[in-house]
Amino acid sequence: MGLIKKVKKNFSSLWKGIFKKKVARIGIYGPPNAGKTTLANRIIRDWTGDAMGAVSEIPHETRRARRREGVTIESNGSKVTLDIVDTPGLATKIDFHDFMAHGMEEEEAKRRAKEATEGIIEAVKWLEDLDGVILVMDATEDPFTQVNVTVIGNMEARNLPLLIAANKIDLPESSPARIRSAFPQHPLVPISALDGQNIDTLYEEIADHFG
Amino acid sequence: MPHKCTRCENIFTDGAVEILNGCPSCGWNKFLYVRDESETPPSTKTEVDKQEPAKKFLKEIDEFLVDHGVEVEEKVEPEPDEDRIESVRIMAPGSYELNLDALLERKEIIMAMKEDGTYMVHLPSVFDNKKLRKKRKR
Repeated sequence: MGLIKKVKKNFSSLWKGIFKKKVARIGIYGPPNAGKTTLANRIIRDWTGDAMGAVSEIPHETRRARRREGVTIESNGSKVTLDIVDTPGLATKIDFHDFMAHGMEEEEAKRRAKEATEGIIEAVKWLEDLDGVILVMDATEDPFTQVNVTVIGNMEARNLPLLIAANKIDLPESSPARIRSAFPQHPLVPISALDGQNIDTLYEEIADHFG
Repeated sequence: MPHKCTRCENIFTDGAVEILNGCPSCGWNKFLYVRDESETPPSTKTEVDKQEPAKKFLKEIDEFLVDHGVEVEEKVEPEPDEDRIESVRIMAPGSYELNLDALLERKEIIMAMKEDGTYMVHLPSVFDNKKLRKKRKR
């Protein structure tokens, strides 16, 4: 049994060595309304011409993880093919009253809360199948949140390469420096997923880190 | 305001005929305005005046406490509790609390109902975990 196991292991590492994995599966994570889907849409539109999903000001618009395969990014001469997974926003509390405050009917708000909860569980389970993570943070918000700290700590424990996108720099109150000082151990790119500011730098970093 | 006869100190109500005709007991026709002790409206008024800033102050404190209380609650809610084993706590239909630590670190999903100590274990996630462990052992 032990011998077979060893042979199997050696064979699989040999196989991997010959056919190197060329596609990196990258997950876009972050709290609700940080701009994950806006970023996913921008990446996919820039490199394939399509879109990923709908965006909305109401939190938890994305309630199922969405995957787009074979997005090839070229930057500074390096080329990387990614499978991009856009995930529902990670949160610690979901209350349908918050959706009702956005003018939603009670039934719909409750359904949204249930789907958002399922979505978070799905997003967490996806982490096991990823090669790297783009963590999108809202640069206008305080970065020291339980969600950010927990997620970063867990990704570090998993040894998952992490790239922080400090989003919403088109807003005057944004402060990417605050995020940088909160999590100095990870590469950070200040961007505006909405108007495309600094997005080329993000592509360079993606090519560098996940290529 | 009542009037007092300045000689015999008899008191007559405001607008009484005696003031015009003269004091019936001593015949004096000079009177002095006096305060009615039973009424004492000026004194109560000053008390009210004194109370108003206090009321305002108390109101402000109440508002501050309410504001402060809400802030404290908000801070307390998302704090991770190390004793929590559940991944999801169902507070009410449509109201959920997620324990990201448990979700990220455990494979199995455990649900808790409110805070009454009722738990539900999602069996497929537990069995999946055991399968994986077995596979790893092999």
